[in-house]
Amino acid sequence: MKFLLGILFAVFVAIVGVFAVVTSGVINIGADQAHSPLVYKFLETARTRSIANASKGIIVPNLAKVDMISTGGADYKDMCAGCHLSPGVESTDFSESLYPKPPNFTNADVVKRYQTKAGAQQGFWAIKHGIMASGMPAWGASHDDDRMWAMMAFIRSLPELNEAQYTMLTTRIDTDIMDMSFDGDMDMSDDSFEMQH
Amino acid sequence: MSLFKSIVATAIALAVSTSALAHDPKMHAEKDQMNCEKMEKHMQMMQKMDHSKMDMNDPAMKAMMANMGKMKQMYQKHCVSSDSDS
Repeated sequence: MKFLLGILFAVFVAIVGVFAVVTSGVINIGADQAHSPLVYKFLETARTRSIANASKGIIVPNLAKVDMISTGGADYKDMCAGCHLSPGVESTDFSESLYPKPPNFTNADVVKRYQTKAGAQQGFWAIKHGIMASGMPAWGASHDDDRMWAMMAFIRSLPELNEAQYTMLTTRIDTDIMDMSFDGDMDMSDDSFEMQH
Repeated sequence: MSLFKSIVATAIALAVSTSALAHDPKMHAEKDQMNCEKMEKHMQMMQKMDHSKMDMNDPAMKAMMANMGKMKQMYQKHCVSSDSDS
């Protein structure tokens, strides 16, 4: 009985201790301060296990489709390259400033894990749902699954691209606009179509 | 007061609708493919590419070649002809 009470008391003290530390404000949450290796490993394990568990039932489409890679490239340039980099770009303000650092998807070793079925499921899940308190947005709030799978398809091919190939593959070509331009007589000679991001 | 509220509501609605359009693929496509200056740079880049080192069975390379084909068509139709006319 005494042993049980001892355990309960220890748990109570631990809870009060954690509460006291958290509410005191002494924990530095600045993104320019790294976690201790133990805390980093703990959070990383929680993240990888959570994504693996949540994504295991996802059905992976054929990610080798040419159209998919093409549309995914254009979206990658607009939505991902600022943090996850592109060929010839070794760092950006975002990639340098975020903590934890976003994975560099031009690195073949980083992307290798997404070339498996489980990796594709997990990558898609992370694109769709985002990752809490990491800077990774939940693109599923504003994009359909096809567009997010296309991004995943492109990311799997990204490390093999050089700068010129990346530029060609990420230029957005919309077939409706093409058809319209060949039917009518569009003027492309000025910048009247420029838009704000 | 109600006028002020409606102005604020309109401003918020405008901001939200603009941000939603920012990821419309068609809007992005217009920026990329409706700009001759940009397309001309891409044409020059294409000419310098070494196709002998590419694996043309790779889906990424196939996608790139398809994109380049479309770009060439757009450039020939709208940029080359309009330059030669002027």
